[in-house]
Amino acid sequence: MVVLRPSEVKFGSKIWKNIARVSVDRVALSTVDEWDDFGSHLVFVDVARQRVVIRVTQEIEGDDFDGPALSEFEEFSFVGSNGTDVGRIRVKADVVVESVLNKVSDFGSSRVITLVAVSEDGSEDPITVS
Amino acid sequence: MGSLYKELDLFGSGPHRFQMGRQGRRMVSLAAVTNNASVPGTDAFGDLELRVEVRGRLVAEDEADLWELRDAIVNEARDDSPSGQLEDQHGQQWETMKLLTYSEDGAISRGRTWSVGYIVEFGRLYGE
Repeated sequence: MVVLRPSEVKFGSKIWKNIARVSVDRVALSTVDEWDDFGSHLVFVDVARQRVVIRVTQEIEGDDFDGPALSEFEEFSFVGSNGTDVGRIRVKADVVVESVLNKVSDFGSSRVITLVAVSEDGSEDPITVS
Repeated sequence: MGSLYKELDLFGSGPHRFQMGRQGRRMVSLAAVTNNASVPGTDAFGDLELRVEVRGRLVAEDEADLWELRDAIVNEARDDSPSGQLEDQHGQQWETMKLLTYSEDGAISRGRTWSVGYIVEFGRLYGE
């Protein structure tokens, strides 16, 4: 999932501004691979452990002393849209801040915040879309 | 074709593989036989008992179904459970086999399915 220029991005009670994009990636950390006695190819694969990672790219326009702290746990949400009010989509997740990286250059500066989504009970998808 | 033990499909929920155990003579230390540590060497005392191992994965829709699959195997591993015919997926058969042990290989995986790896040992016991 990728949302360009989301209309609203919230981290806890704070509103993050100048967000260029938000992406949600899902990565398998551990898979179960099985073969049987009929041949050399896999016959069973399942994802035993997965990680949902949200990356927020924020444009920095001046001095900035703010930014979330690592390991901070908050509810994160953003709103994307397909151009109409009817098509507004809110994405929510409980997250932990994993990294905050600033990229500074003569042509512009940005910050990439990486958030790891946390499920309430391990079986529920940590991302909710409404 | 699926594998069978006493006509039961114990392993068909998921992939599994058969593996033969050690075969041949049963070599025993003469020091152990004579209870004298200074006696060197070994000698053959009959044949090794036949062992066949099945390694695979039980795969279920939910936890209750997974317990059913486990219980079906463990039920055959009871001491009073009679021996029977074991047959692999290719039709190879072993007669008078007992299901000796069931052990799990790793934790339950809760992904798309509920699944757990296992090792089951079968044996043909001379004393039976």
